[in-house]
Amino acid sequence: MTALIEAESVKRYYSNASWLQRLLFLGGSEIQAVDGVTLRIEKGEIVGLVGESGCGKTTLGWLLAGLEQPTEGAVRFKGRSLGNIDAETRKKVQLLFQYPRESLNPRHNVRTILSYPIRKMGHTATADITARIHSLLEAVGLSARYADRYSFQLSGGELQRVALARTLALEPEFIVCDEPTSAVDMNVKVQILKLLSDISREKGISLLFISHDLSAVRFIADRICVMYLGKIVEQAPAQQLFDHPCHPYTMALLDAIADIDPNAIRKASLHGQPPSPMAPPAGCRFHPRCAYTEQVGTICWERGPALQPLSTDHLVRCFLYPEVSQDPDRKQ
Amino acid sequence: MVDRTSALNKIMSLLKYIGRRIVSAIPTLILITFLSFGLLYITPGGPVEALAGIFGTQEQKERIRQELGLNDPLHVQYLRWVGGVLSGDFGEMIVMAPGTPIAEMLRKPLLATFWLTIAGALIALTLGLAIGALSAIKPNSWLDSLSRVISIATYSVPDFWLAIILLFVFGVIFRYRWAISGQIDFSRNIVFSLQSLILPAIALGLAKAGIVARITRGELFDVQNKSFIQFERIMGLPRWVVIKDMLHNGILPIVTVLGYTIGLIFRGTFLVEVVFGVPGIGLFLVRAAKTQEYALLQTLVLCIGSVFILINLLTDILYGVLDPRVRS
Repeated sequence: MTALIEAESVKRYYSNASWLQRLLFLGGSEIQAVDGVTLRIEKGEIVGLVGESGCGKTTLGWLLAGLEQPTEGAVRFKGRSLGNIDAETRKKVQLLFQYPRESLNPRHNVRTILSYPIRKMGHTATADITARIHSLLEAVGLSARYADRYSFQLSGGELQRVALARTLALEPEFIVCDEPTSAVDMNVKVQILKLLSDISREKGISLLFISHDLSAVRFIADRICVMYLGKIVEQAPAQQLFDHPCHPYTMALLDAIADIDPNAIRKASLHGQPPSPMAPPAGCRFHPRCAYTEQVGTICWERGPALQPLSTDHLVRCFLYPEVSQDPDRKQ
Repeated sequence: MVDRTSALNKIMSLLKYIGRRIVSAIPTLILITFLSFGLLYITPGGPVEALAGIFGTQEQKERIRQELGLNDPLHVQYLRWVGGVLSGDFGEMIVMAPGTPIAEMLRKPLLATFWLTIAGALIALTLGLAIGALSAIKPNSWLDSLSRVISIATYSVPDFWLAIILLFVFGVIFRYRWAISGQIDFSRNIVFSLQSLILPAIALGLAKAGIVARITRGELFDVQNKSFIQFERIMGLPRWVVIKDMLHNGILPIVTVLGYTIGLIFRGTFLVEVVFGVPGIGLFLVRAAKTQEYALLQTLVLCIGSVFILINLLTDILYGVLDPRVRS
């Protein structure tokens, strides 16, 4: 069975060479934003993607939404490559942006903003459009009064609701949510998360929920992927990941939020900044910050581990587990 | 796409906004009439001395004063002048061409300067927008670097210097007659006037195109990375709609710079007119000051001030049309 959307060994590298450098064959450095990610998302599934800033999670989201083209590998929607898909199917894959204030055109009122996608779906009669605008606003929990407001008259939560309504107007089957709750306060965050998960369940829309906020991901996601420096290091059903984290990085992340008690002994705390994606460490990319390296041995910086299953649905990329073998990818 | 009521609301709030802007321009206009009227009393000499000559007797001077109404109280003179201006009577020439109404005298120079400003502004606008948009589409490309160099070069160069160089190259080296004629008078010879317009307009426009290009590049570059533009792209909207929305959002700072630039070009015409011998108000202003033609000087100051107010007013109104935040 084909997944709704799948990424197969997707890589996205950015070159930061200027035209002068390229002309003189000086070739600047390369940023490995996403480095060989394989991910399947089923219909109606909500997948959480967590990781520190700069780990490539937004780039992966953009690749899955088709806003970026992969350097290598392929992204397929219903078995067809996103690169050469017809416009009609293309609309089924959408993106909810991180900064709601920037994602709505400040020169248009809500009515005009929503009428763009509605018209795009082929509804042109004025009465029809008005009715649809009202039902969309209702679906995201806003009253019809909001139709004549401009984005500068709305709060962060309201903006995100309008952005969601605009996306829903295109009747998508898959939405990449790029940190949609990072710019709103706590109670609004909960409302937005509830709204997203309700809409997903109701309409069978799959979501990729990108966030660095573990509590938000835990709240909404069925399955969680943890990303570190362009690679997925652990992937498991949400509950299992929180109950039995296996990768040292996941443990450290969970440890960082779980410790309310200042006297608790930190099992695997995280030190320092993540290394630059321009020059990722050899071997396992996490080894310079890993608490288990000494225990496992030199293999950690000599070879890179592959992402392999511990059980049917729990994948991990760490030599701590004998099941995990070396990554066949030469670049390790 | 928009309900009738909301469209009506939009137009009503826009009209209110325009009304407010016009009303708030009036005090500035009144201030300018004070200043231009006051000129008469600030400058030494004046029409009486000029008319009576060095050997004029005290009696003669007194008679001239009486005739010109200079013995009346100040506010009476001011009101008389403003009343005249409001009814289109700007007074008469006294020294240069006695008896000629100033309005008639100024008609042609004003038109020449007007066309020169428009032509210069068009060049600055088209070149600036085109270069700016091209470099925004491909940021950090060789095109972008080239346009940056050209922009900085053009706005570092004063317009009158550029005028002299152009005059030298086309007039002295290539000896094109049209290049140096300076005769801009569309009522007489349209083709010849257009030809005469080319070089002064290039001198004026090129010097300001750089600023417009840099601002355009910066704004469009910012806007095309905004999420709502990206959304329109993945939604699959036609390209022209996306470009329209990009321009709609990036244009405000460009409008500001344009208003300011047109002001600069208008001011620049005074010097460039002198270089090319264009009989515009720049040349007139110099002559009016030399001969102490006070009514002409007053009118010119009033005109120049009003032009700047008008440019600012139009900029403000354009802001209201483009940005709902300004309207409300």
